[in-house]
Order: sequence, then structure tokens, then C-alpha cells
Amino acid sequence: MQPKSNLEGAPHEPWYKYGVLFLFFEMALAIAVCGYSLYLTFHGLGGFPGKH
Amino acid sequence: MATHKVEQLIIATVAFFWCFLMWFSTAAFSPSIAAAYHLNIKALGLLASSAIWMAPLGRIVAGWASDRFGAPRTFACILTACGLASIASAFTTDYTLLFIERILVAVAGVSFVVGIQHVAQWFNAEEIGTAEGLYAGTGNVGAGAGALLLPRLFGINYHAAFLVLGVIALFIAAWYLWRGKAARSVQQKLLTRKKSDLRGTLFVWSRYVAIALMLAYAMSFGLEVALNAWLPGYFTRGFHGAILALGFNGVAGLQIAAGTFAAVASFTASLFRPFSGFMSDLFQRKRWTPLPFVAKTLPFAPRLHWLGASLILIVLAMAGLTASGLSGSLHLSVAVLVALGIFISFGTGGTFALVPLLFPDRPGSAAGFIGGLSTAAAIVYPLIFSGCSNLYIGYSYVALYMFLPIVLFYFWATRYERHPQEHGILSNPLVGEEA
Repeated sequence: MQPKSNLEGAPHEPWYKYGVLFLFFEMALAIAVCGYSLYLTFHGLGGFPGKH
Repeated sequence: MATHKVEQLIIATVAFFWCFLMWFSTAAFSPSIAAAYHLNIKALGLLASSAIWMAPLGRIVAGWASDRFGAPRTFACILTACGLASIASAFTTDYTLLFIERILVAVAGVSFVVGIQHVAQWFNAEEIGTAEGLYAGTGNVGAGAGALLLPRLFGINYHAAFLVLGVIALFIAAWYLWRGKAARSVQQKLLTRKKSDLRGTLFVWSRYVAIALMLAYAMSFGLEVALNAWLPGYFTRGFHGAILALGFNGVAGLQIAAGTFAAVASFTASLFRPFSGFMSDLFQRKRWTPLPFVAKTLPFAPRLHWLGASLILIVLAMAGLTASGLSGSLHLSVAVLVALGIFISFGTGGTFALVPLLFPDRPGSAAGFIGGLSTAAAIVYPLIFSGCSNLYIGYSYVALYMFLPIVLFYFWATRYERHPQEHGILSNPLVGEEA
């Protein structure tokens, strides 16, 4: 059995940059929600959104 | 029918997101169900744990079925069965029947491996990490979205929620059947189908590298699921005084604070997962191979190194969780927990960036084995955490006696510079493979 080639250095298809943009958006969302909810909790104001 | 691989990725991701929403919808309404049926804490615990029961065996069967019958048909079957069970549960007034129906709805959790197989059949080797990461990471958010949104949208009316979730699942099933295509070529679809026999499944199960990936996933996703259940109780008991000092009072206040600290680990573990796939792709493009012993010349060797590095980071973070707990610092413990959540996502994303490349002809069977059996680990970790004499030391026990041997086995199983798939417990002729 031979695995697919790695195609090192091959240019990415157009969809890829949008995919990467979306994953960075997801990371930013995770950081924002975590930061916000931790700020609330450490200041005794509430907790994770939806559990105030 | 003309289609594009991005369309296939979107269909699989939406279907997986919805399945995860249905999977965890029981938990989102457990207080309402408990109040309606006057459940005690044991019955509530049983209802909560039932969500995971179907995963280990169900994922193995679903992975094989997606190779055999194609992902669109398999996914549509899962969505239809779970959708109908969800609709039926909306009209049920007997608790025993409701419990059985919600176990049937929990079958939705097995859909993960079907989408992994579907995406693997469409995307090229150099972009598979990001594609699988986007699928799995975005779909996983369905669990968190359910916990956040469903109680807000439906209040305590879980009947209406289960009905709406089930009806929409039927529409997604029809969409999947209409627009979903099993593979980018008929030839590839037929090859995958041909390889999905019992000997092919035995081949995957007996490979050292497949076992190493299964254990790596048990170390990452298994830990993620275990922490979801364990952490609220850990913070409530381990940092009782510190949480009270923040201004939270009573059981409800402790629950809010402890639940928040637990949720950040789960949230980062889900939403950083696509980034891990991207990093696996980046390692591949840059040909980074920093670890000793692990193969360096295989076509996908850099991806093995990314996963190996992720597993080491998980071990270190687990030791850090013990150290921060023993120090008594709540802030430090939460910071380490956020790091652990991110490292777990590196492990989950790194594992499934490799699976389709190691077993290109059997992506479903491989995903079923690696993604299915590993979920059983989620049952073991909390038992060890709670069994230790000291509340904080369990993480180090797991890291030292379970994770470190797994990492060493991973290094050993990935040392082959040619065809690591050929090395396994059973000989190649016995499992129908030519040497």
C-alpha cells in the first residue's frame, strides 16, 4: 500500500485561504468567549454565557 | 451531478454539527427532564452517561459502513434514525421509553467517523489536515452550541426542542442524499468498497501505527470527554475556598464558577482543532521533523512529528495541572487548563490529519477503529482521578503511567522509514495484504 504523495511545495487551491481564514476566526472566537467568561468569573459577576 | 469538494465538506460539516447538537441535547435539558420526572441524582447521572454508550462500537460499525456503502447513504441513515427517535421522544410521557429513545438519539455521536471518511475521499494529501480539522472542529462546536443556545431558545420546553431537532435532521438527511457524493471518482469509491471486507478491517486493527494513533486519540479526545465530566466537580472540591472568595455563594454559585472553568477547556479543545490540522499541513509543507526516533523520510513524516510533539505537550500540561493544583492557585490552574485544552486540540487534529494518509483505501474502517475504541478511555480517566488519595495528583498518575507509555509506543510504532502500515500483530498474508 502506498500513501498519497505529499505534494510538497505545490500551490494551494483557492478554497484553502478561505478555509484558513475561517479557522483563525474560530480561534479568535474561542479566545474571546473564554476571555470574556473568565473575566466575568474571576470578578464574581457570573460565568460561561448562558449560565449567569 | 456537478459538485465541488468544498460543497462536500460543507454538507459533511453541517450534518456533523447537527448530529452533535442532537447528541448533547439531552444533557442541555437534563434539569428540565429531571424536574418533570422527579429524577434523583443517580438517575440523572445514568441519563448523562448514556450519551457515550453507543460511541465505541457504533463508530466502528459506522466507519466500516461508510467504506462499504458510501458516506452519504450512511450519514443519511444515521440522521434519519436519530431524527425519528428525537421526534418520537418529543411526544413521550413515560420516562423509561424516553430514556430508550434518547439512547437511540445518542447514536448521532457515531457520525463523526462517517464525515472523516467522506472528507478523506475528496481532499488531497497536502490539504487534508485543514479540511479534516475544519470538519471536526466546526462540527464539535455543535455540542457547545447546544448547551448554550437550546435552553435559551426553548426554555424548559424540551418536547418542542426535540421535535424541531428531529425534523431538521430529516431535512439534512435528504440534502445529504441529494447533493452528497461518496468520492471524487467512481474508481476510488469502488476501491474503498472492495477493501472494506473483514480481512481489510483486521488489517487496520492489527497495525502498530493504527494502534498508536488510536491510543493517541484516547490521550486527546478521550481526555477531552473525560474532563468535560470531571472538571466541574474538581474545581468545586479542589478550589472551594478560592471560588467562594471570588464572590460566589451557595451550590448554584459554585456550579456557575466551576462550570465556567471546565467549559473553557472544552471550548478551546474544539475551536483550536482546525488550527491543529493547519499546523499539520504546515509541518508537511516545511518538512519539519524535529523529533528523534520518529521516521523522517516518509511522505507524511512531518505530520507524525506534529502529532508526537502534541502528545508530549499533553503529558507536560497534565503534570502542570497537578503542580498548579498543589500550589493552590486557582488562576494558575485555569491558565494550565486552557493550555491543556489547546494541546488536546493539537492531538485530536493531528491524529485525523494522518489517518486518511496512512490508510487511503480504508479511511472509514481506520477512522472507526481510531475514533471509536479510543472514546472508551473517557470512562477510565475520571476513575483514576477520583481514586487517588490526593485530588490534584491524579493528572500526574495518568500522565506518568498511561500517557508516557503511549508516547513511547507512538515513537516506536512510527520509527519505520518505509511503509509503517506493513508492520503489525498479524502477518500481512493473514489479513489479505501483499508484503
